[in-house]
Amino acid sequence: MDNTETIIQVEKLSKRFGKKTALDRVSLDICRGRIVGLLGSNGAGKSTLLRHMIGLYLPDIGQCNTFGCNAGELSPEELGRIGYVHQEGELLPWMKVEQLIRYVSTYYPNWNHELEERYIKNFKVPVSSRVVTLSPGERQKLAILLAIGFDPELLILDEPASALDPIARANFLDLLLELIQDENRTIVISSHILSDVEKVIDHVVIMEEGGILLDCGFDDLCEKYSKVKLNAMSDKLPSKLPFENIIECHRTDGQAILIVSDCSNEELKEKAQQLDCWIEIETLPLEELYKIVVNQHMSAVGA
Amino acid sequence: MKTIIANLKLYINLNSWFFFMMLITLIFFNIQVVSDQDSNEQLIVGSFMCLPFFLGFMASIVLIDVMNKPFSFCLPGHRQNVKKVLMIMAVLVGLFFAFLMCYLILDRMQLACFSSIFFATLVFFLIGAELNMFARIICALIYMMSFFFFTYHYPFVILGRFILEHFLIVICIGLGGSITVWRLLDSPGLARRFCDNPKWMSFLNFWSNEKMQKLNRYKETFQKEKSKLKINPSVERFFLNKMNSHKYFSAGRYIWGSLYQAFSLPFSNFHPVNLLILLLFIFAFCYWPRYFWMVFLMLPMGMAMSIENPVYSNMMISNGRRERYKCTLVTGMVNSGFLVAIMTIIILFSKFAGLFMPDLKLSGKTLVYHAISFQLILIPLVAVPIALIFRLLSRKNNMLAVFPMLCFYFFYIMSIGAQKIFDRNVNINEISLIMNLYSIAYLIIVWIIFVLVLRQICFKKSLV
Repeated sequence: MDNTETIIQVEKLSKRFGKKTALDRVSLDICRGRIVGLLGSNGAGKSTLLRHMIGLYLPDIGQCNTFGCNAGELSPEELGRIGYVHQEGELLPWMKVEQLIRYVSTYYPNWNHELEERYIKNFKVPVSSRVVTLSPGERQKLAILLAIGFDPELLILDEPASALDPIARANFLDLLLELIQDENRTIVISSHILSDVEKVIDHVVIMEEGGILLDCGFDDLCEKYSKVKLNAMSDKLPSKLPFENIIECHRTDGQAILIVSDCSNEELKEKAQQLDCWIEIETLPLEELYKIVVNQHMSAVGA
Repeated sequence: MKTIIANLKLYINLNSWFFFMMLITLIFFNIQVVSDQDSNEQLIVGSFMCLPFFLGFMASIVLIDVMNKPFSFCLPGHRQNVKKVLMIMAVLVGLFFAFLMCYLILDRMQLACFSSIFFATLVFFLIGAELNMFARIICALIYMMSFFFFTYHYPFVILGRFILEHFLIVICIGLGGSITVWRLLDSPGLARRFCDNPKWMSFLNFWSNEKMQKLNRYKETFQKEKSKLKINPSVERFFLNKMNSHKYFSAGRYIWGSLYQAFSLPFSNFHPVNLLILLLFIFAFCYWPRYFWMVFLMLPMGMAMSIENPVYSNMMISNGRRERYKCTLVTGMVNSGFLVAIMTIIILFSKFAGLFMPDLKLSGKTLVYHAISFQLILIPLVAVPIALIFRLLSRKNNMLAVFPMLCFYFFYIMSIGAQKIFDRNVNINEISLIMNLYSIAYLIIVWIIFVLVLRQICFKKSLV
């Protein structure tokens, strides 16, 4: 299959709920095989955007196409290629877990019973319990199983691990790593646990106040920003450091920790040599990168 | 502003319309009772005691709502205000009622009579408030029961006689009751009982989807957990086989799936005893024919609203908007079909029982058994789509869906009360006549509206 094929295409999509603008002219393309991390603060519009992708919401303006179809008009065949885990974890509370799995699996011709059994064993899903008696974490595990059980081509995960305990979260990450082995599978994952997300994603979309602040490859984002530690070899560091695009600077006379953007490692090393400094360059974790992007946006808006 | 004033101001709340609606319903019922030919002062005094009871209930609801807010737990001196507010209101209501009864209605301005009515009102007000705080379900039952007593007046007559003839006892009960309630409201555990407990969220939160969802989550976690309702394996097998008899991704599979969601639980837990209780309940109404149509309206509406709505299901299965539309339509129609079948059974039973059911004599009144007319079978057919329309419009807020039932109830009581005021006898046949002439038109119109609303929501609106 063609991995440059766009399977989700969002174009100038706007959505309002009463007076609140949830999405404001959002445009986004998601190609097949990508693992997209959708990040943003509470109320940024992540869940609203995800719900548009599967047609639960209809745009006020603009459009959202999934698998080349208007998302609001997706047929069962197309929806049968999409797995969706939502943050509320709504299931049928009166059913037993095994009954619910049987019921949901009846809708899908390609239900993977081997995966189901393995998942139930690994995640210790209590099959004979009633759904209503499950803890939020157990419910979320069940919701994940129901979303992946039919090997969907597109997996949309809206805060999938928020209620999971650390061990279940680690298992879930392993499962995601297993799922992404299929190169044709596209995953869109929205989460606040960025340390988890960064292990699996290859693309980042950062949202804020209903708009997209950043849409780029994860590697590109990591390369864009660097954390630089400078130690003066002999004397003090100069009062003005000769780096461009400094975003943050914490320094003493002989030491400085900088966050810089758009500087290659070679450039940084060269400048450190000129200053007679010892330099250490680190890649920033996703959480730091996220904060930088959002803070830059905030200061731009404030200015 | 003093905390106590702030608390009292809460009663002037736009959302309180619901309580005033219920209160007006009760007042009109009272008017209906006192305007009866055999009404006497004992009946008037006895029946009007429903009002302070309900006022006490209302007053405590607002206070519970305040105590439900987590921050109010920590406000200085706030917990002490509950008893003060309740007592102030109880005294004011007591004075008002005592004056109303003694001066305007009984024309007997004696201190003993005034005190007796005052303390009786006080006690009923405080009972209403206390029951709401500690056993809300009993309060609701008493409210409903009071309407039965409006037809079978005797309990009211006894109560009224007691208040008017045993002044000293009533005054003693009033004083003792007030002191007891004051002490109960002084309990340090009271605020803790209500603080941030969704179970005690009041009707004032009807309009807040967020709060209703919180309540639903609470119910799911703590209440349904206790429920022993389960899906019978044979029922599950039946529905899954039906689903499997249709092609994958075909409408039939989704329709059977939604029927499974909607009906598997009631089918699995159906017990003949339930039907028997229902029949006994209906037969009670056969001696009370004025309210036949209300039962036939409320019962199907309640049942229709309790059925799972496939439109807003957030659980991802591969059904598109078109499938959700078809599923909801079919579920609604099947629901109506079942209700009509149940109603037909009930009517047939009532006709059959009419052959041997005797007339009853109760407190001097002869109650004649009336078999249920087949005309009334049209009511569920009209009521179900109305309930479903409100269910669709109210999304996940089930409480909002109760609104049409309350409105029907309210306007019906109002109409009877108004007829009494204007000195016209209620003619049940008028209602039947309206049903005969227009029921078919109503039926078609409400189903068309239901389909239009459903189409609009399924194809043009958000489904979460």
